[in-house]
Amino acid sequence: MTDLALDRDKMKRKGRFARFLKQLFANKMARFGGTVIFLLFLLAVFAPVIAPYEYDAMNLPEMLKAPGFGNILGTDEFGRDVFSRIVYGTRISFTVGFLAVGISLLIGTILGALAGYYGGALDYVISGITDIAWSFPVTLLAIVFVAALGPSLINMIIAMAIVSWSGFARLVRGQFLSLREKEFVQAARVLGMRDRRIIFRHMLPNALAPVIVLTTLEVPKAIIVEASLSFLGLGAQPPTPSWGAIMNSGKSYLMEAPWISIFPGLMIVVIVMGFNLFGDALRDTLDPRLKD
Amino acid sequence: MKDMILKVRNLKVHFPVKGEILPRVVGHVKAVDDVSFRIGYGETLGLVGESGCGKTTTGRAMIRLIKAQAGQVLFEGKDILQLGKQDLNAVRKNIQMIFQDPFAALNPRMSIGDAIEEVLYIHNYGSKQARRKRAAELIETVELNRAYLSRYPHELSGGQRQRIVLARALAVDPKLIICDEPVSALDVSIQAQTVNLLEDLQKHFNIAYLFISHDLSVVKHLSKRIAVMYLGKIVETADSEELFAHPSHPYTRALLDSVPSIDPDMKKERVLLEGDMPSMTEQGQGCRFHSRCPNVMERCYHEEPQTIDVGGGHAVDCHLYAVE
Repeated sequence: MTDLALDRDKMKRKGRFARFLKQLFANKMARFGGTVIFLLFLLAVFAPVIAPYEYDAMNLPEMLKAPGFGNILGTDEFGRDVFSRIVYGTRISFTVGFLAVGISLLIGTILGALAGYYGGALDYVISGITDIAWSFPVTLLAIVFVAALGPSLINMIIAMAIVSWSGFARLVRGQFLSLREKEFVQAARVLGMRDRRIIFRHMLPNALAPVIVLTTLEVPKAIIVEASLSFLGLGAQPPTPSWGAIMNSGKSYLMEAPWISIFPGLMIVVIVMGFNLFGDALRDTLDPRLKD
Repeated sequence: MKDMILKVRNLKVHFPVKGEILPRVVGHVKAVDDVSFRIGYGETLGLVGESGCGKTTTGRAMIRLIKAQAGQVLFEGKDILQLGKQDLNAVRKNIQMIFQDPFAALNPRMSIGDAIEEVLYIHNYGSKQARRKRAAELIETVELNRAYLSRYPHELSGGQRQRIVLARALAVDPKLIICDEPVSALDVSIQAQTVNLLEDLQKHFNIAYLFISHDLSVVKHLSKRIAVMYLGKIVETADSEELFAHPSHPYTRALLDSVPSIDPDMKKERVLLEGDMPSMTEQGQGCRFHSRCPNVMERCYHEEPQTIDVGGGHAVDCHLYAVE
């Protein structure tokens, strides 16, 4: 009996998760989105292996070369290989996307959980701040923060996190408000559990599904904001190969060398589409009720 | 008098009603208004009344899930309403609660075993091995197979879940369990099983129950004493048999008459209530039952009845029994 009892959690968890994955990947969109994300992730991880040149290797005689043999996506105004720069740029997009969303997820979840669980004056204050943060356009506010902090990759991530946590806070607060009245949470209180245990063991796991979905849908947004800010010169500084920055440098040569801007632009479309399709599929699987 | 495990004295729970335009308090819903009762060790008190009369609120206020405005809840002499956080948790070990909806009472993301072991863990019960063993014992106490320990709540039926909830409550060796409509959500056949189980456990562990229900037949079966609640107030209290034999308050009579009889030839004068329960916010003067009472007198409109002892531990709040 003991062996059985000891193994049971592992077996159960695995069974549940495997079933979930099977269900998720039965969805065509999930397969497609997941594959795109996975391939781009590999591109980011193995960038030094895949890229034929260094991202900052200048070769002035070869500048503004059209796509073809040797430089499959052409070269920019300094003769740098556009393909190599795009491959390295994948790293920037993933880093910024995950870090910025990760930080706002953390801030938003903590504040939302506190507001939803304790209610009262604390909720009033946190909800007020959240609503104010929510009402600002993200890109605009990020520009203000970056302008104040000075343009750099780190500052951009910080700015994006400060700006975009409100969505998570609102979502988690709402989840907690409804969970707080659930009988199993009341039962936990009657059983003498501490607030911390109730929040982390009983409420958070049950609030997580929509949070995961929101996360996958926030990452592509963050990637777009990153590209926009870098395009405006407020994010990654040259020669860092952010897709937005590459597009910006290419805009002066749009007539002579359109490939410099076109290909990073296409990459942004692909990565955002990948995340959005995957996120939508995830939502359909985790919460069938939300399906249109 | 026998030792009482719980004495509730003049418990009041009022919810403020805010104005529609301005958030200012315009009145109170007196959900529980001056409720007193007592429960002896290993004894069952049935608390009956129609929906919205404050039964559930009473139960929840007793263990401070809802804040009470006034009154005392004395558990073995200690007033629960006055305890600090530390002491409160200590007392909660002795008082457990079973909820109406067994589907909502278990965390859907925890296996049954984990849910029971967690309770043991937070009350510092032995090692992990010991807790597993105890969880297995507990689940057998409620007449379920150990195999259920690895299941998740959604894999179980309502009756099975209610047993799990009971096993979880038993994990802390409570002396009193507040049962808030524990069988109302179950099928009739399962109701009987659960009620019998509750009875067995009471005999075995000497647990007292506060059994909140609107179902008179269930309450009659289980309870030693019964308190009838109407609109936030207890209107009649008596031993179970006495109450069914001699219902005194007009409301209790109407309530008993509403229980369907299985004898088709039995023709009796039925007291039927008209109208709905009046709003809790608009309580005027007098007896709160006067708007629906078949025996209403002049006096009932402006004077609230006192509790009158009609003998044999049978207490009624009604002017009909007033001795001038």
